[in-house]
Amino acid sequence: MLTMRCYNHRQRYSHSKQASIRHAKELNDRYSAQGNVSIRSSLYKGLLRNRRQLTLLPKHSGLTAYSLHPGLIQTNLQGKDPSFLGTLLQFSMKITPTVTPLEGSLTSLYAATSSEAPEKAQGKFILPVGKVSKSVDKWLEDRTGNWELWKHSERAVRGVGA
Amino acid sequence: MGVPFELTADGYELQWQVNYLSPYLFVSELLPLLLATASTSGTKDRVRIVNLSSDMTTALGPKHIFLNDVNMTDQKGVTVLL
Repeated sequence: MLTMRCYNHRQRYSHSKQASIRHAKELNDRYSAQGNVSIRSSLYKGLLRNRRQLTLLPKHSGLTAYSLHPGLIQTNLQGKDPSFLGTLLQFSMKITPTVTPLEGSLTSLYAATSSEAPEKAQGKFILPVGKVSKSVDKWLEDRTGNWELWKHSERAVRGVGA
Repeated sequence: MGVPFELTADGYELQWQVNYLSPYLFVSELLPLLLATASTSGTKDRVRIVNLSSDMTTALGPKHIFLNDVNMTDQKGVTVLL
């Protein structure tokens, strides 16, 4: 039972991180200049405070989105996992090559600031440092699944927030 | 990361809400401002959204999103000897 449980909460972590990758892709599909979904869609209208704001926006916005794996960083991220596998991971972090938090920020900085990132990596999943991964292409290409996740999330947060 | 199963006050599994749903809401709230800013900046690469994910999702995660059970309450996982 213990091993089953620890496998499960690690699965749930991965589940949330898969959603994060799909979210970035869907954002990019919807709002990048290359996107197919018009910002004048009913969904977008719902996000605006009033219709006047809509008329102020151009047809294409030029917003890009990215997801990334920052590398194995020497932080206390694994410190909250009480399971056996968690303990094993904490130990493995001590013996495998890891990077400092400063170095661990490089991939995020690449996505946020590099002039080549929009061309090379928009909507994609990026590895340290600045390499575009192909390992999640099946999720990136799953337009239906990403759209369904978006609609699900939209319903989940309805009525919440400002 | 990898915390034991727990539901938030909103009824979502803790990691799903903290790692995904909250950032989704955060970005949604900021979108009008982000798009307005993008429309006034001369270049196309000015406004960016960066999601911090993990490579672990490809190695240990499910192959798809469980839309009917985002909390993964029904997922019994696999009995593994570790």
